[in-house]
Amino acid sequence: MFVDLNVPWPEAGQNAPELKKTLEMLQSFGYDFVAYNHVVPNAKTSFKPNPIKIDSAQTNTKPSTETLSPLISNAQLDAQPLRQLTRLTIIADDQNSNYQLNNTNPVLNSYDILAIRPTTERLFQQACQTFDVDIISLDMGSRLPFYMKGPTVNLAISRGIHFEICYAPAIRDQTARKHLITNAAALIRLTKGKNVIITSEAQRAMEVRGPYDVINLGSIFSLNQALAKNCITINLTSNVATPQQHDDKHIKASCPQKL
Amino acid sequence: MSVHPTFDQPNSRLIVSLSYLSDPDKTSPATKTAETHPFNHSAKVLLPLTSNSNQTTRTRWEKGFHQHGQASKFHKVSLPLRFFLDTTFQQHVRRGGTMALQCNVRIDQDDVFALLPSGTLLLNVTKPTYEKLGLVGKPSQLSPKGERYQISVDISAPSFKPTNKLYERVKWCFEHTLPNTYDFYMSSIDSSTGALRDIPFPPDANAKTISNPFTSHTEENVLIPPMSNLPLSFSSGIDGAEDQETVLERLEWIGMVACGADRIRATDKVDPFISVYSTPEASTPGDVFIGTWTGFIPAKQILDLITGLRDLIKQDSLPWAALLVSGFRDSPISWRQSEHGYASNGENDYVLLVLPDGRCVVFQALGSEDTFAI
Repeated sequence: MFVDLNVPWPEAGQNAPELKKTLEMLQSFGYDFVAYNHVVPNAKTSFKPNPIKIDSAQTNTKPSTETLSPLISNAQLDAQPLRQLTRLTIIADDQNSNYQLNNTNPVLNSYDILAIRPTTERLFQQACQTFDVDIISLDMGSRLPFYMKGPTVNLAISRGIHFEICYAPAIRDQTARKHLITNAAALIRLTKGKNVIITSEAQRAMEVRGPYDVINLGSIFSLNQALAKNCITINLTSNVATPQQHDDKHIKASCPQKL
Repeated sequence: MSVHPTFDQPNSRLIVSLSYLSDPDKTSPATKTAETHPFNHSAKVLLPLTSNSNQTTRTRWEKGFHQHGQASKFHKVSLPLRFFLDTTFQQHVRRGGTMALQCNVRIDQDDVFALLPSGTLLLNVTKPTYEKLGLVGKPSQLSPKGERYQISVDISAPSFKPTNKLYERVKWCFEHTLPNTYDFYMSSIDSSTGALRDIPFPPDANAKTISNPFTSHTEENVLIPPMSNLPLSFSSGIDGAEDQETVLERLEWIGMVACGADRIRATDKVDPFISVYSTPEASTPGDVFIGTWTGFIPAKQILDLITGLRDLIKQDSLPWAALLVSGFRDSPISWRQSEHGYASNGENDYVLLVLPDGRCVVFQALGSEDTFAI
């Protein structure tokens, strides 16, 4: 099951048709799961309610197998539509504010996946050690203001947190490309590919890449094919898992129909 | 962990072997290759048209192949797995020549089910499905440990019938833990007549009988390399890099013709910036007849094709004939019962280059995830 856990949810009013095209592109490449990402710049204001509306009509239903040649045994013809999840990313830049990352926050509970993007070393450490999040996302397109240390990263891994590498910023910008390769290679060196996910963060359909291309991209970060495949594959018992197995994570308890 | 990326990619393999095609009744490695490769998606024949063959030869070939392919059909049907345990269906399986392959699945991500002509039902499942299903299987040798499992159930065994413990267990699993309906390509070929048997499918199975369509065309005015003086011998094999190069050049040329590439045309003058390919030395202009069947082709049809090609070579004094067969990239097995997977490619194809003196060069192309070895 190929999965893309970072498709930016457009701000109110912008670019909704672009999102549809992105979804069509993802579907044609064979992705099974997609998570819409709502990015919140800081936590000083209390969280607004979840703006992401999952509309099953948003994904095109794939063409029925009757109309196409009966001989095609291509996965694109599978009748299952793209499964959609919701994700919140908090950009954490102030270590004094209380991010309220606990089970009781109803707004956080309305998202399937919770991610945090720390911008300072202190916050990165806090995220790895104490915050209750699913994904730690770092802005790999620019020089990281801190070094990632082995023990901190290993602690996060032992708590079940995944690290995210986004590849679309590298497609958009050339300097971001250099930084992505350096930062991603450093992350892979520390984690040995464990608990790493590669996602797109594609703002346009043209920034999406097929899963096998992403696997090849992984080889630039020193990930071998099998490990890279794990980074974009979801087993239904990991990160975004059946709710019964990960009750303490911010996964909506009543969304088993989505998985 | 090196600082610089090493781009370690697993390798695809090409196995080249030499065989002797003698009488149609005796088996040889070439026919064994065809026989043990059950799931074939397409078969292509390449025949050179020499200067003394003309339009009538071409028409005769077309007619002949068309007739040969008339009987080539298969069923496309939606079935639940418990259908395979049906006792009437088991009779078909025990008669031999029955096989099925699930369509529209990806071997590296989904569960794939197939029925082999030997009567074994193969379930190649992912870890969540395996844990839910409840049948015992072996871990896959290709995926990382514990990610995929292969379960084999021998349907044709005489002991496998209702009231047998294993039968009841499998039946329970197919009714409770894996009751879904899947699409299958199925074919049941009578070994004597070669005709497709009718299988009693349940009424809601949406069964369709589809022919393997045959198309043909001729590539005109292409440069054809000589195939007769290949440095192949049974005693020494293919020794030396230069000899290997000669043989592999022929394979590359066959591939170019099959794709309809422009580089082999006698009139091609391409800028070296684009391509520096040149046909092997001493190539002469001529035409090549190409006939293709696409669909779900049983091994029996391929074997008949091989015999047909040998007869055609004798009859029309052809210098060589080639048969290209490609397998399904999502098939759970390649040759014999070797496990097959999909890393970045899932090829399990082969080419038979049949020569007039009875020799046949067999090229088997395997993707990187394949446990087959000679």
